[in-house]
Amino acid sequence: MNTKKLTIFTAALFMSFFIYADQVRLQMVTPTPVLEIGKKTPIYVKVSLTGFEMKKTTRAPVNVSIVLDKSGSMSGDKLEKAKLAAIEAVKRLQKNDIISIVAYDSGVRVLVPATKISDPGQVISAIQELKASGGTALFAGVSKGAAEIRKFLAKEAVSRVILLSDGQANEGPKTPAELGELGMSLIKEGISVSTIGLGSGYNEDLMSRLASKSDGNHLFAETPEKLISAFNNEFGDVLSVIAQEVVCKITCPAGIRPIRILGRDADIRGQQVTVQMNQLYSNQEKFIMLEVEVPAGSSLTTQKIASCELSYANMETNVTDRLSSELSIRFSNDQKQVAEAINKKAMIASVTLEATLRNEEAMALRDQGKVKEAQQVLLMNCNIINKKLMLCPSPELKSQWNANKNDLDNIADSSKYLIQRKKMKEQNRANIYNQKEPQAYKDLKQEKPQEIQADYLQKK
Amino acid sequence: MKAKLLIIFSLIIIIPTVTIICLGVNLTRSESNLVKEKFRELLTEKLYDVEKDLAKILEDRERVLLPVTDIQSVDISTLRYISSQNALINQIFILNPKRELVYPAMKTNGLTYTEKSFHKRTSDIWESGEKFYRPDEAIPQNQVFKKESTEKPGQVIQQQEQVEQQQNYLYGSAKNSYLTNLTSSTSVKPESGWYTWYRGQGLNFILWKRNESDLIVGLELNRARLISDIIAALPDSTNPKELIVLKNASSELYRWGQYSLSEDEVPKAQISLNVPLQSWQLCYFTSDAVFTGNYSKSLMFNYAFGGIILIILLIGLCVYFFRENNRQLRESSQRVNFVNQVSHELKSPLTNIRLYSELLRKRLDPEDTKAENQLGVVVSESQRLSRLITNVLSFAQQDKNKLKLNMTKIHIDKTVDHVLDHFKPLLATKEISFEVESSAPLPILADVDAIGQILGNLLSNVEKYVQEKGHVSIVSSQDSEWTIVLVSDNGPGIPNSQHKKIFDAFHRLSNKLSDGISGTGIGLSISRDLARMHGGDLTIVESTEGASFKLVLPTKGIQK
Repeated sequence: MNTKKLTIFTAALFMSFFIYADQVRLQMVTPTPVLEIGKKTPIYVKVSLTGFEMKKTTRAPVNVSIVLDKSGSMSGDKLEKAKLAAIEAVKRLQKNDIISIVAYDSGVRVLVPATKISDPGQVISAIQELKASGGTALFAGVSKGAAEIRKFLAKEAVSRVILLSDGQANEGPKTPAELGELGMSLIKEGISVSTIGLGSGYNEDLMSRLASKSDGNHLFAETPEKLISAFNNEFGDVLSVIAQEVVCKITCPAGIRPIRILGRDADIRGQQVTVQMNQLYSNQEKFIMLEVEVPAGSSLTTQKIASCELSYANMETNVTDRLSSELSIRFSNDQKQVAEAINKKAMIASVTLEATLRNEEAMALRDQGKVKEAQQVLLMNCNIINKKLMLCPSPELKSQWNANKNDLDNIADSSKYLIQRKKMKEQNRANIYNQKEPQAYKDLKQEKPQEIQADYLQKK
Repeated sequence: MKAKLLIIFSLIIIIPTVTIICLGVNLTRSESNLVKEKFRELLTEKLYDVEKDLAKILEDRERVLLPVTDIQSVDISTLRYISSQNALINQIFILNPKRELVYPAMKTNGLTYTEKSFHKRTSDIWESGEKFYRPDEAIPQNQVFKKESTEKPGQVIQQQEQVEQQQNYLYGSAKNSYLTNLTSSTSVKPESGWYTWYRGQGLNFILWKRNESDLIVGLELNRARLISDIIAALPDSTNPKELIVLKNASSELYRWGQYSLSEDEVPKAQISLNVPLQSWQLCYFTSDAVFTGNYSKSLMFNYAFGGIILIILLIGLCVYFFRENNRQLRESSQRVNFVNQVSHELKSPLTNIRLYSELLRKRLDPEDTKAENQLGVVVSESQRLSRLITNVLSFAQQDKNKLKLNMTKIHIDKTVDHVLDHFKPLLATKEISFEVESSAPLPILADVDAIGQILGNLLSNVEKYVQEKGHVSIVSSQDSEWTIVLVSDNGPGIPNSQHKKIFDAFHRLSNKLSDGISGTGIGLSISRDLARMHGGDLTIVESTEGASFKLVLPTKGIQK
């Protein structure tokens, strides 16, 4: 009876947070809302932010700079498809949007300085005239692109650099650290950099780092044909931004110790955790997975775990919205109750993230040349996912199992790993930052997940 | 003759042309060097202009960021907010008057990830005991470290070197504080400056400000952002003829221009930037052709053009002279031919005149002296005319290399007598006395007509130039080798200066004596040539009075 009351209470509590329409939906849940008494346990807190549905008439203007790689390696089909993709994307823009086109090889040229898109033909013909040659001054390309955006930098607009590259940055600053540092600066101005890596030659660490630090997307286009859908996805996101300057402050009451945020960058200071995002997209969920340590519960009471204050700039109303939420758990003696209370959706999210971090770990091992250790981690990962699938079946976990299996099959061969690593990087980043529609494993044939035996690799 | 002309003409053409080309090349070379230098200066100027732009970006940054450092107290949430919001910086920090880091303080709990990584990034600075002074600033003595004062000077220097090796250049570096021995401390006055240190990918930047309460507020700049903004402010790659590269100590930061670089190409101009970008360099690349080519090429073209015009002019001139010369030669040979033919035509009537005069003389009444005398004049005049024609014909033949000698054994004395016989009437009319001394009995091998012609010419001159009642002597002598005939008169003589010239063809003495006396001016010339053809010579010898000609002939004839 107590349980019923509490459930109603909790539900009411949730309900109260989405009274207003056209506001971001803030939700705090945990996979384990009921804990066994007398055990000190780490639990996850999922803070979920879901963008409201954008009305078509009220789309925020965008300020986009398309930065195209026209280095020698892009010649032929690659550049043609890139042009086509960029042109298709430009066609989706409207009168109030601002566009600039930058092309880089060893040097940089601003083909179309930031301008309101009154004459798309001019922009399109500038794109069409591109010819491939030279090196890859990626840093300079981003710099010029950002500078173009800065000409019309406005809070009401969505500012985004879309960077395409198929090669290693070999002119100017070229380390992931430097590009990451630049991304950190740009996000402070509200400029995100989305990176599209084409083929097997680009530096996925650099590209994903730049995207992560500036809260942009990172997409992997294995073949030139995939560029159009990559640009399409990217522009779909850009054109559906409903909130910017998102700051989420999570505070834990005394006694509850915040341990870490899974994946994302965050400031953890004492009891307070701050996570920033540059934007939220229409109808898209972004979440923060916080791990906290809950001291052993002594009685059958509820325990407040965390409260959250969210602020963001509403792009529809141009007002800064502030929302707040709270999460409590309760303790129980009954194991069955504990098991029944499990929030499967939150569980799936946490399993996905954990598996993602293990996948990253496997990648790090593989990079060090520890192929066997990396395979061990991936094998273990598959089996953990498989186990969780029994508990809470979901297509997301199923495809993650398949992706991990695919990684396991391809990680040893150096030539295959070149591509596989890019897939892993894109997928993992997408998992961590809740990016919609990563491309990497889209076409992968789905097997039925199953336990993989330790001698699987030897048999192969 | 033609070869000689050809050589002369080619010299006329080649010498000035070569001179002009040499001068031109030299001039071009020095000009192009000059231009190169000028160009280099210009390029360097251009780079300095770029540097000015860069300095402006840093000034702007200073102007924008210095207000951020106006902080009087350490309020952590404000400071964190600044770090999280300011796109140009990574981290703000504060040093207290003891120069200890009070934010973000070391070894405290509750530091954020970014604050911790700031500590990691800047650990070198805090270990070096950096105090943030400008290089031109006096450092108060009470600020000098205890640590250093206990060190021996040698160690201090070593430490300085280490500092230099690490390339920790900075405004108001600790290095300077070691060197300056300051005596008095000054009150704290606000000051600001740049501090740079090497870490990671290159130079990192701190903008610091010391306020009145002696707090140092520092801003660690976002290095990537600074470079990014510098790149954004620099031009695009549009100019196809140049390439400018901005680089730091280890790698290239940005390049603009589309000139494609060959490997290991040396920049045409290069400068190092000023603090705080001291390890950065700007290099200007461009092709050699752009660098000097056009100018020296056009200069070269000018010279080549001038040279060609000159050559054409000279060739034209040479051709003109050559043709003119040919024309004159042709004309003169035509004249000579004409004279030759005329002379031949004159010869046969003259022979007839002489023949019939002789015949007439024989039929003359010996009593009739008047007729005898008159006939004598006819004979001698026809003889003179005959000589003249012979000379002309000889000259003409000699000119055509057709003169030939008909060598026979002759007695020179007989020949002298024979010639003299012809002249006797003429000499008699001018009452010129003569004496002959013959002592050449041996026969010699010679052409009798030629010898007669020589002697006739000599006697004819005597008859022409020696005044009335003059005297002429003909002396012959002989040994086994040479036969000599000396013809001397007591006439006006020939000045020494003219001795060589009188044998030249068409040369006649131009003085009062020769005026009014007719002559062709070829007699002596022909005579000497004939004598030389015999292997002998005709010369004029010095004498006390009058003229004296010596004819020398080989006794045994010409040796072949």
